[in-house]
Amino acid sequence: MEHLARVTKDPPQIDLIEECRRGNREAMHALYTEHQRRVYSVALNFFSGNADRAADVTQQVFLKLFTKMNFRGDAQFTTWLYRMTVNTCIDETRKIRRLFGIADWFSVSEPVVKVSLDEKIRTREIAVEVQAVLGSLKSKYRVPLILKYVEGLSYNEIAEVLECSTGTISSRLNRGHKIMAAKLGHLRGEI
Amino acid sequence: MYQGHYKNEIQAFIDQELGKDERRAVGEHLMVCDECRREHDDLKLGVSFASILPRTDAPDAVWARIDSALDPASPQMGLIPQASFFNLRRGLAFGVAVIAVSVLSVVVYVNLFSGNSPYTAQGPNQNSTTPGQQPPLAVNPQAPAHNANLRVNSNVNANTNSSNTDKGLPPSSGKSWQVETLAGMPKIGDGTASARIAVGELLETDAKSKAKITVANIGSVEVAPNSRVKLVETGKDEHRLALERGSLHAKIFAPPRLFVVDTPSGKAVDLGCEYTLDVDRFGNSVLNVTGGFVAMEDRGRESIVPAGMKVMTRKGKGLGTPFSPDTNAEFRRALERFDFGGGGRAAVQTLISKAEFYDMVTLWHLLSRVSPADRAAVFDKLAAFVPPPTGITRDGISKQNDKTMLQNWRNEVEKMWFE
Repeated sequence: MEHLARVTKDPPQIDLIEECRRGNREAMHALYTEHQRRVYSVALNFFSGNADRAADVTQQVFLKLFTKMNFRGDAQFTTWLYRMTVNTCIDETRKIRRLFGIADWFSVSEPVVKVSLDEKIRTREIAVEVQAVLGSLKSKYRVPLILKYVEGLSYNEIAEVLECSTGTISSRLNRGHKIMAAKLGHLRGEI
Repeated sequence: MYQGHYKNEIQAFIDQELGKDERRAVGEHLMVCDECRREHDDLKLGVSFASILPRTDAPDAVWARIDSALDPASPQMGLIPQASFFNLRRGLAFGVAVIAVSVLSVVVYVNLFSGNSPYTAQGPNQNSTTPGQQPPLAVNPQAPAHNANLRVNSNVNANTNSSNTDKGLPPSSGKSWQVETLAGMPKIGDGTASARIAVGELLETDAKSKAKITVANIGSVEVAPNSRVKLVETGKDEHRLALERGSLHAKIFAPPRLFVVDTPSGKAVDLGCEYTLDVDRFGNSVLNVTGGFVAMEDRGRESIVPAGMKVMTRKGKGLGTPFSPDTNAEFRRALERFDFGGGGRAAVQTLISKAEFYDMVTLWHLLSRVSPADRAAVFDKLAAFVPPPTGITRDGISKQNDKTMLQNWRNEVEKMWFE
């Protein structure tokens, strides 16, 4: 059974981070191994299951992490990492819109995954549909949903990542769920 | 008693974020209020959908890309991510669109201002090429069939002087495999575009190129960006590649041990499988098996890795123990110390105390790797997850290290793993 991630309560691996700052490649690899799943999973769900974009974001986040290393230790390391991941996802969305919006005129959009009714009973296909709907939500609804249900963070932890109140998180989750329920209502009996 | 609704609290109620008293109050209210219950049901449905979103590891190639970009000599240094296939596709579309618009503009200009009707442009001198000269981008209709598989860089063959590419032959020995370009311009051998790789030749991809090698008649290997692969041997007894750096994904359908990939710190021996193999700039490797089994070997030591597990090798430090990517972080760290950090007994104690059900294959490997003093404890832990079949005893394994018993238990462990 897979365990959901939690914001790390331990001291934020100060030694490991210090080693990374010194350019120790093995320490970088260890830090990457420990946290890659968090970053990749957030990005993968943020971009509706687009593995290429999720890989790009993961690469960017860790490169920023290793080359700038501006984590100051005044927050939990994982909180800081989640924040950086979310910001990179949002920046990436803006960049793609700015640079490649014109390509949409020539119908070279991403392939749309169409799932037949018979297949929808299978969880994986449902997950694809859920990811597609999730991708259509505004970031302010999408991100709390991912942090809560993919990463298993508490309201307090999400509020820290997004730098807002727990009440805001609760209401954004509420709104996000209602949109999801409305758009995916036809799958009501299948999960 | 509170007579209003609890709509603002229902989300937190579902997510178990309320205190005990508040939770009880909302629960009691839901039993009597249809309106709030409908709200609850809607939100609960949304939660059910969100709860099936996947949580997965990044592909191993991502670390290889990061590692390569951190290299000061790398052109990627400076936080420029490698172009993804998606971006590449969009970029190409944009390029094609710009060219199309430019061509259209020229045609319109010529038609409007040159005074020549398109219907008069049929004379023998209309073609701007001189006699004997090939028109640009002319594709030779006689090109061999396998060249048609070259996708993105097919124009390279068309533009190249046809002496090599039209023949489509390997440079030297008759032993060669077909190569298909998936993106960019992979280099083979001396750098000329080719549709085959011969024994002794290197296939090299840069940050934007990918290639697919057909492995004789037993499967295929996709070579990821920033990789360097050599065809070492191909014959009826063995097909062998060497991955010097980068990443490859192999799909093989063949008898066990027919296909081998060497890395600087070990070799991956196919036992009927599908897997991804990454090698970093230091020669360390990570094998991630997605179908069947692979044996990773180094200097007489062997790790049998079933689908769903990984194993690492470190150059100069040897071969690691297979592990499940879903294992807990403490177990993973202890295994790293045990395999490569000289962790000794302390690491073994952590491994035993933190092992979970899906660590069964790791525990089985540890039986023959830990010191005799720790073997009984590993036996007990593994037995709690996979009871040893008849004939396998604690003493037989912990004291005598009986190979037949180990093998028989391995069969049970693998059965359980795949169940």
